[in-house]
Amino acid sequence: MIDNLSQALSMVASWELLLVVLAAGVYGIFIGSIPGLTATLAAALLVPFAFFLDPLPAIASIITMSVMAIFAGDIPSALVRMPGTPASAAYVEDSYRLTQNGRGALALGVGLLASATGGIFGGLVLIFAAPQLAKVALLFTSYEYFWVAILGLTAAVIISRGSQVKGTIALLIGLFVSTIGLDISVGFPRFTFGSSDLLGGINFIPAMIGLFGLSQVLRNVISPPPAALPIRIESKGLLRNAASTLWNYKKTAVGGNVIGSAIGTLPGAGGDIAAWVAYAVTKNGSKEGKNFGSGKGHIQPIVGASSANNAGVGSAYIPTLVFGIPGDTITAILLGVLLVKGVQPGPSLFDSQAPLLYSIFIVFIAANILMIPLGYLAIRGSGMLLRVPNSVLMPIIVAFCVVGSFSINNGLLEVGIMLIFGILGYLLEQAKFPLAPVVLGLVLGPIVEKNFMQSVIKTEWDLTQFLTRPMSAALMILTIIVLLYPVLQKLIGKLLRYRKPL
Amino acid sequence: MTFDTAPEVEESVGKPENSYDLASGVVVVVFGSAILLAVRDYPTLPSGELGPSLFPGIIGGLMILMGLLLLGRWFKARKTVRPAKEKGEAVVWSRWINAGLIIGAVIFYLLAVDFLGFLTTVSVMTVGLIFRLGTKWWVAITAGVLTTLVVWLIFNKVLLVPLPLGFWG
Repeated sequence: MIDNLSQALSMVASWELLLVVLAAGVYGIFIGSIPGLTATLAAALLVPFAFFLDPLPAIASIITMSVMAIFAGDIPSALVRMPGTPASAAYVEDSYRLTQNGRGALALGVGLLASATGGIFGGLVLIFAAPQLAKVALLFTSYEYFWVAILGLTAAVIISRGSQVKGTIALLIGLFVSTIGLDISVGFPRFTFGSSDLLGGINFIPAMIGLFGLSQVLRNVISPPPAALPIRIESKGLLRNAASTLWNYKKTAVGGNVIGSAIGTLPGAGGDIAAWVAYAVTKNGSKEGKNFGSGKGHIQPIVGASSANNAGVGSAYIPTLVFGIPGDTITAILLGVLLVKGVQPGPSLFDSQAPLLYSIFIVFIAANILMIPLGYLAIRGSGMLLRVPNSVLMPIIVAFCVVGSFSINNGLLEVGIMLIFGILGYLLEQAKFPLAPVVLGLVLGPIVEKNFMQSVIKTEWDLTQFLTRPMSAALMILTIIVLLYPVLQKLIGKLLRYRKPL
Repeated sequence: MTFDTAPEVEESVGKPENSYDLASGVVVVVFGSAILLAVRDYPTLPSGELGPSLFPGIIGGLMILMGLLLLGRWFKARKTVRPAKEKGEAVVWSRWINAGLIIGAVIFYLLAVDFLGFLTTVSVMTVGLIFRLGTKWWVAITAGVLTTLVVWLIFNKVLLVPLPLGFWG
């Protein structure tokens, strides 16, 4: 361990990496603080750059960017009542009301420190839990990996809010796209329409750029976010006040950290869902709970939810690194990059590439510490950040979408794929289909199919192996429980309602 | 404002939740059936079992099922939810034209980049879009040309992507 750690430190201590981390941090803050531009969009646009970097700087840039973007989403919540990223949506009302009552600096300062501590907590959970889980995962064979991937797909649909039918359809679209190209069992070209360019399948990166980048631009020009002039905030003594306030609510913060880490671990659930759950829990546990989101605004829900969303960012890497099953959309994109870079996430990563893994851990902690000075500057300069006009920003994003997808393969096919997915993403969002399951389907589809086909060819279609191997059976039961969760929830709800009149 | 997996906080207020269910249900069912039709004559494994067609087949089948569920939901809800005219949200044609122009700009890149070269094509795209989205012409030209140069420097000079030169080269 010490050996790996010192090797990792020497890997991390390079000018190139430092520069990449700093640039990614500034970029993350910028995108995160602009309403309508999500952390996922930031990740999708970052990928073409990451594509040309070595594995460690590539991963480091995505980690730093996402950590910063999730915090920066708090800034427009407080200033213009619009969450910068969905992860800040839960407590937007409280932040904005605090700002209106002259306590905006406190809201943002507390958000910053809660995010940083939450992020470090999530990072520590990752550092300690991931190697332990990897030991279990080492015993997995293709049967277990099949079930883990199925579990990931199931969870992605159940956890995604809104209609589960639509979540499933979104997932199926992703899965379908993943089957385009040469098939895994006999090398038969599927859905290529005779085009040799499609034999290798749909390139994941331009698809993501379209789905989250271009579609967002389309949405913004068709229904532009209302223009609002930010309220100025006084940033004197910001960090000191924030630290003492955070200390007063330390229990809430710890609660948020634990909830965030736990939810982030679930495949398909990221910082935004963590924030909603932590908000609800904080609300239920507080005497003031009923008044959250009203009156002069409350700082307590910000502590709870803001620490949860950043804790979730860290723990989302647990399933990603241990099983190769992404914890949220950003880790799904990261997974795509890792696969392109020839790094196969999974338990063997903990063995064969331990220094790389430890470097990732170090970057995680460092990024969250770096967030404090960068975030402080962002809060001070927030008025300026929010004045960049959409009419200039959107065409710039279009240019990056086009060049980013072009540069993956120096080909126009990728630009076409980006365009198609951009339009698809817009239509899906319009019809209220969630986009996250599409990504998970795209990433997990080949894993499900490969492990299933390998297993059945190995045993000549002896399907009982999927059920009778002890670990397989356990994973299957877990999947069934997750699948039945909405039904169980309804049942329990009904039972409780029947009991109420008594 | 709320994207990804975020719950719909305010968007769902004015619009009926299922206003797109009929159309999306039909599209999904048709698409699922098309997949099933396409995989019908895919080859089997040497041992005779389903191979390349198995997964797309399952996906197509589930799509039909889910599409039908969606249609069922629409059918059940169609009477309770009035097909309300979206009030206060008059169709703003110019916005749709903007969206069309963005799509058009990408298509313009696809068609023109090999001939005009990267710098010219992207300058035209960005300057045109920025101007169209409501900025003064000199801001549009400055911002558009600057963006193009920055993108070109990053990708061509730093990341060493060979961007097309077009007839300039």
